[in-house]
Amino acid sequence: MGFLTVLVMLAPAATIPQGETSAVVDAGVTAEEAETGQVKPEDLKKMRREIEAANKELGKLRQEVEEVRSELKEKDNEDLTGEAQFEPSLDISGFFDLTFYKNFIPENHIVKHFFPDVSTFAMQNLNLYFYSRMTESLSAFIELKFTFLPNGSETGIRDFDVTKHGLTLKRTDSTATDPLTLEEYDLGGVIIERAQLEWRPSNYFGIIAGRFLTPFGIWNTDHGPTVIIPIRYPNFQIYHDMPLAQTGLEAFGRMFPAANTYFDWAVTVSNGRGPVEATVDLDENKAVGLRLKLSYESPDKTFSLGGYGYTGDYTDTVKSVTLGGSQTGTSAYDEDIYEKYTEYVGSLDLLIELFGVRFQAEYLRRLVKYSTRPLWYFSDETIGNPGDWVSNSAYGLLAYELPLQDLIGTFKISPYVMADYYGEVDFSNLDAVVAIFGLNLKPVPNVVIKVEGTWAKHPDVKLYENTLWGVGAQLATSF
Amino acid sequence: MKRDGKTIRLAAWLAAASIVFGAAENHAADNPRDILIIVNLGASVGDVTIDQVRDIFLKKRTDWGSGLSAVPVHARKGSPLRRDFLEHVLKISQDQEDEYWAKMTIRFGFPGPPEFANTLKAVFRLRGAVSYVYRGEYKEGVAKVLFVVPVD
Repeated sequence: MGFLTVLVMLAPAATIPQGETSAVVDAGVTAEEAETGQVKPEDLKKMRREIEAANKELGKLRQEVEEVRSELKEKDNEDLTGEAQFEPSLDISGFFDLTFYKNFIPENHIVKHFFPDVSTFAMQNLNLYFYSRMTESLSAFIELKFTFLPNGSETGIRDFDVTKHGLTLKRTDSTATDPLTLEEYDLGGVIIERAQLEWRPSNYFGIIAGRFLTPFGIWNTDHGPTVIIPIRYPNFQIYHDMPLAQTGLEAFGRMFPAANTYFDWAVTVSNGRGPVEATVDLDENKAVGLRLKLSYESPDKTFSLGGYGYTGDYTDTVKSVTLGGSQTGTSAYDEDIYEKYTEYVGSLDLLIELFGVRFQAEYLRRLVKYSTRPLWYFSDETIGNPGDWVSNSAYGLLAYELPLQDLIGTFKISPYVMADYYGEVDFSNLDAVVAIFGLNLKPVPNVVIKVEGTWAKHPDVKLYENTLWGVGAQLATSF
Repeated sequence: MKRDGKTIRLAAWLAAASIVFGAAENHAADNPRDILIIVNLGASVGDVTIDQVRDIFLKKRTDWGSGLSAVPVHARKGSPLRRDFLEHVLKISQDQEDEYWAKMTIRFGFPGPPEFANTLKAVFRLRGAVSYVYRGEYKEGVAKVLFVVPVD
């Protein structure tokens, strides 16, 4: 190859027009020097032979290049290795985990009987991904979460159906019996986490249509157990203070202010929150959101700062229909708004990765303002309406990947600590403080083992025990 | 200055010879294991930096800025070429790249770049494709060289 370069360089020189020769000669040997005999005739003969040989070689290589090019052109319609790039393709991947947990809950703790206090195995995540890139700029992506629920889950907690007579918890039964064999099956469920069509004609602009993850924070996007470091989630993820996913449109793009520096933006328009928001919006007010993020990512360090603001209406309705007789042709139809509120949610996120240390933190504030307050049962058996309320939540996670490559190769061990705070004002007034510490072990990139301890306290609870402990382990894999 | 035809031919030979010998010196300095970053001949991509190539192979950048999609093409996993490219261009190990794509797949669904045994052929065929090849395996005129990454 190197010789080819030489010949390519030689080619124009060998055909230099006569009027341009002196300049070239001035750079090496002048014509006068040649004329005065400073260059010996035998040297010139040798040079001539070398040039002729080089020219001959050049001709051969040119012919070879032409042959290669024509060969490749002939094969243009053939698959190179069976992996054609833009023919419709389907990639399937996913993850699942197995968690073992044991809570130590005091007898008179406020959450006693809400959480299991016996040791238990749990399969909480089994997600499958289907990704198809159909053209250079068009792709489709589906993420499905499979769950053994709702079979056996208890209902009633969500509705605040607590009276002095006690909480009535009913266990969902989705067992089906095969009529032929009488064998029983526990039917599970499927959650559509994401189903989106993405058109991305350039770095600066793209659009997603369908069901997409809300582009806020770090945790919500990472969300897979092989990516997130601890076992336990921060409270705002559990309580969905920000909608975790939305149905509608997301426009997004990326700009490059400097090397390794990225400015990402996204605008979301969706149904927002609602009792059936993935299927139908019960009001005309679409939820909107704006994501901005600035990041610097080099091979050995990352720094990013982002924010997402969201506002939308939640509307729930109750319908009543009275069908008239066929003779009268009259029927009555009523649709009343049962519950309606407007929410404003803002979040900030920070990520720093440096020298094996990873620090990530998120803050989220949610304000709920009711225009139609639902009727709720309260613990003293009175019926009332909830007031407007605010929640504040934040977590900070610090992990360090131990520099043990020389001892254990690619096996990675990362101890971590996390602090999580969740507080509601004018709602439950129930603050929660959680501390987590553990080890994240990664024998290979696709397998993670975690062991961790959890300490949680509800400092505002005075009449009951307000502290509990838990220990857990998790095995997670992606494929 | 008097110049007859013989003198000019002589001068041309000398000039050519000096180029041959000069180039021969360059040839000696060329390492056949240097990595050439190559793109499809039809791609007008302007000046491209090693950071931009890194972005494209990590899918942080998806087009060349002109609307033409940037299509990264990897050599086979485990091959010396892939290993050298990761070390000298992406500046990560194979394990780190595997971990990166395991995370990216969970976050965004898309897989890593496709792999080909012959990256030169793949780049010749795919519009917007960018890949790499050892200097010693490069064939002039099949792909456009963006820049050379020296390998010690």
